[in-house]
Amino acid sequence: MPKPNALPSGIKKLIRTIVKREFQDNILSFKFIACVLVAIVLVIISTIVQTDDYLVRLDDYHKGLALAQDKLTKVPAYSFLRVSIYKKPSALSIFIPGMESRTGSFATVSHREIPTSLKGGRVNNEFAWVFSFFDLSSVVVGIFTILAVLLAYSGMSGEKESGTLSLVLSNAVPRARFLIGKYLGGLITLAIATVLCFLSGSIILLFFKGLDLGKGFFLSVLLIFLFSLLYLSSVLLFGILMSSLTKASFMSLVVVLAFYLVAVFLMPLAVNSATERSSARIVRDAERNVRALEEKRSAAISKIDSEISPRRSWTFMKATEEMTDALLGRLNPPDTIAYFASYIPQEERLREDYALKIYELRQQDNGVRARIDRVRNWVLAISPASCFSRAAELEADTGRLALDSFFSQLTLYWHLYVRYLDEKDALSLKYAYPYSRDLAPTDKSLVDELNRVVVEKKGPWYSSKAFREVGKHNAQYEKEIKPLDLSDMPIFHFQKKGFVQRFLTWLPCVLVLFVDNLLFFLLAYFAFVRYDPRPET
Amino acid sequence: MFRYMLRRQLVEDAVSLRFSIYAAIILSGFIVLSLVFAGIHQDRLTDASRTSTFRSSDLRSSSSRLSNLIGLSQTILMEPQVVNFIADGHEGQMPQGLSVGMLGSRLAARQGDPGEGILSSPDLTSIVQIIFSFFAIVLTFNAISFEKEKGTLRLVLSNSVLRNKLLVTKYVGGILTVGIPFVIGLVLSLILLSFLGIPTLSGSYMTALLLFFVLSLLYMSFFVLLGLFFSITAGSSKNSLVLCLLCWVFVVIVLPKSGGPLLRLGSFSVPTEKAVAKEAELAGRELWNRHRGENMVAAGPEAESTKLNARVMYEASQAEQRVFDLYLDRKMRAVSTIMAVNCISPASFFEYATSAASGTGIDHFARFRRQIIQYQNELVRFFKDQDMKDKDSPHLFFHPDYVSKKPFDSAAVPEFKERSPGLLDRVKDSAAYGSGLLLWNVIMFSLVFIFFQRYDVR
Repeated sequence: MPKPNALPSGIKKLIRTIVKREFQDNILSFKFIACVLVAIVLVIISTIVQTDDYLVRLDDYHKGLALAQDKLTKVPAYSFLRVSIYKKPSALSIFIPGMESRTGSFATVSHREIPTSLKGGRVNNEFAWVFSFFDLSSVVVGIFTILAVLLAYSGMSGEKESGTLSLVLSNAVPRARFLIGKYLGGLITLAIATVLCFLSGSIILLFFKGLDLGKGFFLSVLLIFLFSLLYLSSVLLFGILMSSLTKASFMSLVVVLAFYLVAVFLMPLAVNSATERSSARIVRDAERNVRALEEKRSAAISKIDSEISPRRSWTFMKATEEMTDALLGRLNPPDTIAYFASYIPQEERLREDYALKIYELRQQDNGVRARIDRVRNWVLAISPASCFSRAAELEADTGRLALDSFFSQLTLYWHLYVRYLDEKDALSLKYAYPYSRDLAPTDKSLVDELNRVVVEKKGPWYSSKAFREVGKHNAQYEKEIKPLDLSDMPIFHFQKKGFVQRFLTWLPCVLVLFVDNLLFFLLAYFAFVRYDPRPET
Repeated sequence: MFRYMLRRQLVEDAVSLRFSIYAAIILSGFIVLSLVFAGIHQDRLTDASRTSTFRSSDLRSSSSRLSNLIGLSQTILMEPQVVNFIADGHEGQMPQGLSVGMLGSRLAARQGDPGEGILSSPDLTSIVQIIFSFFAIVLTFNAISFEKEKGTLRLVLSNSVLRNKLLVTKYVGGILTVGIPFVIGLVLSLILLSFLGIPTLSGSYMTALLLFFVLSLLYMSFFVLLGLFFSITAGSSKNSLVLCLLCWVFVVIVLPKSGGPLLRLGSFSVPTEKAVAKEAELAGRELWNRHRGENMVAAGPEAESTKLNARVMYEASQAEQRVFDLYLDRKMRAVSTIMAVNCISPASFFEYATSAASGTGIDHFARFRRQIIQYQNELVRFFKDQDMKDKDSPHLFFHPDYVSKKPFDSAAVPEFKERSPGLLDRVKDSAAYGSGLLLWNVIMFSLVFIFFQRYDVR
């Protein structure tokens, strides 16, 4: 008598035979060939389109970087200093675009504002959001889910209908082994289909010249492949479960297709539109609060202006951007200089303070929004398809979290940058005035003449002869302005998430998928153990 | 005989598992949609009322001087409509209004964009587009092949039932089975909406609903025919299922997205916002340059040079506006063209037809823009009338220093009121897309008919 656990070797062989038979059946079937062909065509199209898009974005990035570098060498005074920071597009956005192609490409840092959104970007047409496009993960979800469903729905009930089930089970094959055999056969088929898909996508990449994918690209692709396998396995198990619960394969088909419709299309649609609405409302309220804060800021600024109120010769100069332009010229009356020497530090300090305040306000609302996102993700976790898409996006690091980490690093950089400005005493008269104060005698007389025109108000000052003369002289002096030496300015380096960090972000999704698999497997096992294998007559 | 067969078909369908499962999905879909839409609609209404409050307060605060009107720019949003429940036409993903001044208009900033640029906008159209097409396919993929496999097909046909009669029964039965939950869901969601305080019983809404109903039936009929077609041609039910599902993914999911990448082609591309602004500025400056060397401003307000200055100022602003308009036209045309490309899929035909029937989508924006231009003219007329009443004004339009500086009554300023399109326009617009849908149906039907005539029933 053999022990109950130890199977005779013939049966072990039988299991292998079941897997092999299942696999051969699947791979030669029409459904497999049709689905794989369609998926490969879609992946090739999407890879070509997305790679082209990625290359254009990469080109924009390099151009922008060069332009920003060039600009930094030509800054005449600190008021002209704007640090443009470009976000490097991620190569993985070819397969999982996430939000990359939808958000902008750069942010501008100055002491007046901590950026919280990207500017620029590839889409110049405001109506273009009407169109969306598919990517690798949506092909996996859209097409291979169908394949998994088709492979699984007739697993048990189909065998029963054709009468083979009772035949196999009467051959002393334990039910659990039969179930595992079925499952493995389906899984191997799905793995081959997915591998073909990922391979054809990767091969397309080889045809693009000058594509620098960077380290870890294929590791991430491999991980995304494993995620998709985990996801498809859960669909397969769900199909087998349904097939062992229903008497007729047609019934299990109907149920599994309904699952496909709900899990892949309807649930994400409903949940996303419900949560987007609430986050949109938060953004709206936040922007209103920011606007209120900005109004407070301008009130404070005009208060500073009125408190200083020295006698200004050039009364026409309001505290605007053009003021700094005008100050760049050498020919300014001493009292104008004195005014700005006391005005600029106060205003710019105030703006710096408010930059921080506005940022904190936005951060608060961001926190609320992140909570909403979390709730959404947990609700969506019910659907394995959403779980997979999210895990893939997190590994590719092209979603909202990637953007968030970019901005949090940017905020750290902002503090460094502001400290640098402090060290250079940049928010003083230096902010706008690159000269020592001494004027040549001819210059002095010119300034006096213009002062007289302005003070006596003989017609519009800008049509006076003296103004034109001052303009000409200033143009000459502008050529002498030396650009600021910014070589010791801190430089922003974006630290991409390491593997461990990414691992921690996608771990919950993968665990949920894993639990789904386990649950469906156990349920399928119990259902199958109690399954009546006799075909109905 | 026909009636009997139809009844048999309907009863068989109605008691089947697939019918009850899909009816459950459909009804819950309608309920969720109604709830979500009620929220979105409320938000849009709040936005619209808030911007109109801003507008009137802006007007009031600038009413101390008539000349303030020149620089005043008001944000006007497209009026939120209840018909967006039927078809949103992607209005959630488009610019929602214009910033309008007397001298021109620009696209208004998006309201409450969570930074991702996309606010999905669920509507009845998307429900029909996804669920009902799927349901139709699941219902009919084995309609003929199953009868053949069971052997009943031979039996029926040997009973001197004409083939085309059997086909028509299957077809009509399929449409009715899909259509009944549709009608129930529609009525349910209307009742739910009216409970949520959204009026749905207006005449224009009802006509849109009626058009939508007809178009939906056409759309569902296409998928019923598709199912029948594969059920006849695919050989076995299993193959028919595979083909049906793949076809469904293509028609409903893939093809409507196919046009997107075309937007990157040279003829559709537009410069960045910044580049457009720069080009506009250049156009304005060029006008000033043409008059360089002339003395633009003299002391007296009546002097010829001052008149010239005012005129050039006006023309320069018009030149700037023309640049913006040119690109806005080009952007909208690009999107419309690509929509036409998308129309290879009946799903897109259906989507655009319903949005035309409800008067939403990009056509809504175009209509809104035309009305805004009319409104600008009204505003200018009002301004000139007021200015003419002031005897001290030099009437040099639209130089802020040389027009009336007297206060004006902010309540008398014309208000913008959006007019929805007439019934005839909507029918005409949707008929164009609807006929495309009809054509698909005719093609499909004749294919099904021909193949069924040649079908081997054994």
